[in-house]
Amino acid sequence: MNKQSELPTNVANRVGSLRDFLQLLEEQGQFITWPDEVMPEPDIRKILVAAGTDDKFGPAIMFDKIRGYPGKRMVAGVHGSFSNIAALLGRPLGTPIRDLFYDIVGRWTSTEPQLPRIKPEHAPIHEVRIEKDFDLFDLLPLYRINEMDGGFYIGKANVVSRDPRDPDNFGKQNVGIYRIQPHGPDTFTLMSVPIHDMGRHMVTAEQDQVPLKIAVMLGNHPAMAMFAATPIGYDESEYAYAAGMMGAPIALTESGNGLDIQAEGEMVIEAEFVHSERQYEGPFGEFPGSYSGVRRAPVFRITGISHRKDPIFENIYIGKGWTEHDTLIGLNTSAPIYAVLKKEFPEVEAVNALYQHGLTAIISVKNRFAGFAKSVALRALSTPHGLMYLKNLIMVDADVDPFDLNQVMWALSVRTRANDIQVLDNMAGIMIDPSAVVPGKGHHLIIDATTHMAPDPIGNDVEIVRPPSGPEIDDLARLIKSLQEEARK
Amino acid sequence: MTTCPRCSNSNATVFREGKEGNELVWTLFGCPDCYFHWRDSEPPETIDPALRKAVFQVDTAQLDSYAIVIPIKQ
Repeated sequence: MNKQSELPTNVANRVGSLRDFLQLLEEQGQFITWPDEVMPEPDIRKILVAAGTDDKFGPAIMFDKIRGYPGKRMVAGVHGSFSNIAALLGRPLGTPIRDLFYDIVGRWTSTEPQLPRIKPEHAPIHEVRIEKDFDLFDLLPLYRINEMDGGFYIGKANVVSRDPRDPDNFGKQNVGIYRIQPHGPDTFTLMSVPIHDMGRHMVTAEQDQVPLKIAVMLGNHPAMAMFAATPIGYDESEYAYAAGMMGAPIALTESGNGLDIQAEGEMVIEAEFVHSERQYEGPFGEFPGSYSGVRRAPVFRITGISHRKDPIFENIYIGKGWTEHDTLIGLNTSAPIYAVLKKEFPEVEAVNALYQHGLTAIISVKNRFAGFAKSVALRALSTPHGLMYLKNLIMVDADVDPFDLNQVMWALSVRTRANDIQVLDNMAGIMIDPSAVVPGKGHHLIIDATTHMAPDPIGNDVEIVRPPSGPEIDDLARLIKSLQEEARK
Repeated sequence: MTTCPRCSNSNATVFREGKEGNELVWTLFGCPDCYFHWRDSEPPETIDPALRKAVFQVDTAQLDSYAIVIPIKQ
């Protein structure tokens, strides 16, 4: 744990692909190759659940001895810990989550992204080209992620699609993570709903009776994997945000069916939406920690595949948290909510929406007057993500670090009265919240745990203990730790 | 043809065989009716119909009871 990351710019320039990032993680002790043979089920599941117990330092894990899949490689946990996220940002392992949050919001831009183009014939992803006789079950070491999943899911693909009514608009070209269930050698279902950008593309394509071509990218640049799961504007490009965050190039090329894809990815599966057909999909152990039901989902038929000569299948463990899913999207769920709020309420200090994609979130704010934090909370509920996902919202003062749950619990303990709790019932919610009375409808809950202020006559005479803080205390804490380590020898 | 542990129809076929050299490690089956796939090496909780909870089973005779995710434009 003593190895320090390189400077951010150095890291950004040397990480152009998943492979580059795995190399970086290995150098920092954040990557391991599983030493033993594993059965696809249940061994991979067990190992990845165990890896998820260390959200601070858990490594990426490569499996290259999967029984029955000789020569195939699968990696998971690439975004499985905050130290792996720190490594991507060029920060030291163990960097506090709050610091990573500020690092990401400081890079929150899609302007002037570096997205160089590589001709398809020179792009590593097109090293091997398959035009016929597709067989997903032969190509990938597929396995069942959770024991009652309805199939062998591809859980971390980045799926590219264009707006059928504005196909040349780069910003409206969407890159998103949608779960994929292989159904046959050349068919799969893809789970998206109409409010998703890709769901919108599917609805439009069927309405207009025009083809919808997609590119399913596997083994992606680690920044792309983060932004494919980030709620950004419909006409904003995930590629632009990812390159903007890295401050370095992410090379693009063209897929065989005309979409913009990562040139240095591991594999791209090109497919076309089968109009008016829906097939059984699910269950799937989703991020709330419960199984989605069986539904009938859109179907896609494969039209072409490209991959590197020895492709790495990157997948994810997802289920009852903490899992890689939570680390992958946590900070990138928090940052856009913060970005929207900060424009209108500069008093907002930080947003922690790490928990189940923001089903519970904590926002710290410089309180201006009694009730102010509640108004900020209401604005948070009307952000694009907050609309459906921010179910339980805790508001704290600026002297509380929302990423430190001990501090948050202190605020709840001493700054909350019963009438500081508001329940907004019968509101929009996500389909897969297991507590929803009706899937898609539920409550929003606001707990105002900020200080009571004028004109509220109660509580404003409380004098808070102000313990010493700052660099001197940080230095003393480090000194205590080193003295303790000495004492243990 | 093999019986599917999820929908109980008997139209499932062998999708793939996993081998190490000449050793057969597992056989992967696929059901063309409910699209369930399973490996004969999986834990019984997943592939034994007697151990699977009813909520995880699929009744292909009740197709309309399964919600459509992206409504089909008529």
